Amino acid sequence: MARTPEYEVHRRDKNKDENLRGTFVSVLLIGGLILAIWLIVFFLYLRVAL
Amino acid sequence: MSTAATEKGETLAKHRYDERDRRLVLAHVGVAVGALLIGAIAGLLQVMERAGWIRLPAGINYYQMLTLHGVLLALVFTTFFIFGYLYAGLARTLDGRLVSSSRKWAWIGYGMMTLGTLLAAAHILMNEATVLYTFYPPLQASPWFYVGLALLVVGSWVASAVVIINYVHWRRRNRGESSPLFAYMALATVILWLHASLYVAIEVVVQLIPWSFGWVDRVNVPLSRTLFWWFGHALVYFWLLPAYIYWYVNIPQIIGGKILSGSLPRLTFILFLLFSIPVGFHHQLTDPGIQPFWKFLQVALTMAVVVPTLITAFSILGTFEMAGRARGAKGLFGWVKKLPWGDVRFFTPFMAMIIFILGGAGGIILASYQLNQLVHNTWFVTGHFHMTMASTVGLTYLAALYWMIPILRHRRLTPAINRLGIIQTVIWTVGMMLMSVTMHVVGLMGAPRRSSFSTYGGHEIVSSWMPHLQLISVGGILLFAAILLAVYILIHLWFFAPKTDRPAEFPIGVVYERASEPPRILERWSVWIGVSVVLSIIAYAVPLADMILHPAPGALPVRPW
Amino acid sequence: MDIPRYERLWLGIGIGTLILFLLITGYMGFSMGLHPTDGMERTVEPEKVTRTPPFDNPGLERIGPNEYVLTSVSFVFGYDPKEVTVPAGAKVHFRVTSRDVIHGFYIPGTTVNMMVEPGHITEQTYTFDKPGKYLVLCHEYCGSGHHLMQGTIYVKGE
Repeated sequence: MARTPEYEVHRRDKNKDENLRGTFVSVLLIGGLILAIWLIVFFLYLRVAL
Repeated sequence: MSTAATEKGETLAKHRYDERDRRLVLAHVGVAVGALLIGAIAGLLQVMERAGWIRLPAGINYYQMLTLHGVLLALVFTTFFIFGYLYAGLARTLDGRLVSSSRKWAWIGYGMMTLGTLLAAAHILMNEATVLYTFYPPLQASPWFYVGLALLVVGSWVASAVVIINYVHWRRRNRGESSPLFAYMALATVILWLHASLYVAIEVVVQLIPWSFGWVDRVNVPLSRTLFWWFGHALVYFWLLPAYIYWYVNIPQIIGGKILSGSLPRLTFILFLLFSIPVGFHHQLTDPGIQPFWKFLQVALTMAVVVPTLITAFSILGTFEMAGRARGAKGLFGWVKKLPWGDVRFFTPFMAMIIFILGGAGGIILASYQLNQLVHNTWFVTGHFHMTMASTVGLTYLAALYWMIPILRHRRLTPAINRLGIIQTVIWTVGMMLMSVTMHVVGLMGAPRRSSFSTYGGHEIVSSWMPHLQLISVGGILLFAAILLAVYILIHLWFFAPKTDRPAEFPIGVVYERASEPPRILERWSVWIGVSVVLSIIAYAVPLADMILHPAPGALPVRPW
Repeated sequence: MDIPRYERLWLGIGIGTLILFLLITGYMGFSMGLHPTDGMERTVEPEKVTRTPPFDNPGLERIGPNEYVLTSVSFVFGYDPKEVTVPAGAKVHFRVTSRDVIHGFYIPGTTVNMMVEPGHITEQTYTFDKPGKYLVLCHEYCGSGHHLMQGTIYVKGE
């Protein structure tokens, strides 16, 4: 049963994407932490500046 | 076929380091470890004085220790390790050995850097250069301190030339091929360094040496600060990039995974080259004499330099996940359990990465324009760079030394030493979290950095700081213990570990077989050097012209210590 | 160059967040006038500065109902004037210079955070809403007495 090369490529990429779900969630968590810390200091700044 | 290591999965023939390359790399490592130990001792004395637990003996003052600590750890330990590591990796990946004609230059560079280090360190110890590692004029040290620094920098240019010679030699013999990833990244690192260190060389050689010898009376203060930080921020990337090389190139092989992409890591290094240099103003946000527009422009460029780290975070974690899944891990986080936690060569840099999350958060805050007013020159800054520099970079460098030294000394990294290394990392991490997190907090409470023990006339705010300052010192003591353990491990590996005539391999990762070939443009260095220079000009030309053409009256020397 | 879909998503979110930070700080700076310190004015040679107006007479000058200019000189190891008193709600325009090395002029608990350079006048404006005793301290190393360099701003409450 023949599969066209493009199909193979598509399948490989899809494979790779699914295999990176844990990474995606991890970086979102890390990014969220950094955003939260930034916001804390931002509000500290507003408290003092305004 | 050469014994070179490539990332294409070709069978790696057993590589043995040429005796001459071994000596060269070990010479650099030796100075690095010496600087680490002495710099750490200075740090210990500082934290104990700072908490009020000791009074430094007569003849030694806090600021002298601080200068020694900064210069030895931030300038000497780093530079010597970096060139040792780059030479070792180049020999490994390019042709199995360094180009013969380049070795003499490597020794010349080494000699200059060592002589410069000794000159500078001697004058610090003689209390002739208690100016801290930023040496801002009009504070004036002995001219020989500046001469020592100049030698260190120029020596590093010679060392950089060695990297370039080896890279070019390989490219000429392998026309049309993408260079091995290690070599590519090594070249990007020295290009960044050559561009950035030019500015501090101008400050030291053109401004400070003539002024300190008395050949000119006055010094242009904002110009010197600007030149320093034009260099100073890029300096931290000169340190960070070799750590990233470890993460991108060594770690995949250590964990039995693959480098996800041959292109994306190259792109990140290009982005660092472009955006790590035209950003020095974020260290000068509270300075006079610089228009807000230029400060904000460089803040924007600073945010840009976060991007390659975002890419790196994804790529590195992705390598971990793919390696875990290839071993059968299931679910969202099953791959975490498959990682070699018991292997110090992985565990230590992993802790470095974790600490980097917090360090990076603090860095973004520091660069956020007005937010800087809450934290500039407070302990927050010190907490930030101990996390990013001392931990992310320092721990990664230590991990590299744990396997590099045995390879070069034909000895074995034993399970016992491996365990000790893990213990060292745990003590370090605990001490660093305690110390640096507290530094961030007390900095937000207003406690200044770079200051000896003081009650500020009994002001109430100081009593609110005191418990935090004690905690910082406890963390510092733990860190010193961790460094002592690390130095013990390194000495043991050097002299006492069991010998072998089949040393381990310098781990070089293999690229994921489905990754595409890197675009050729990523290797057209003239393009990227050009863009890097143009960005520097855009970011600096106008404010710099203002400082040079409409200067304030220069300042006379002052020696207030 | 093939970048996995999740990575492209992540970079989009990350870059978007960084742009958000720039928009917020840029707006605060250029629309609300909340810049960190600056000051483009120069002054005379540092060793002559205390003989030259306005730094020959440093101190507080009232310019409005509750508005002041504080002209201050930093030196090793102190500030002139060392102490000033203002009523709560005072809007103070700081204009500071140094007669020797680079100093810091920092008031914990406020946004007043300045580098003071010889030959330059650093400026910042701050409104002291809360009464209290504010510590002014030097946070840029300036010699062996650096950690003893301080001043005070008393803000008298209602």
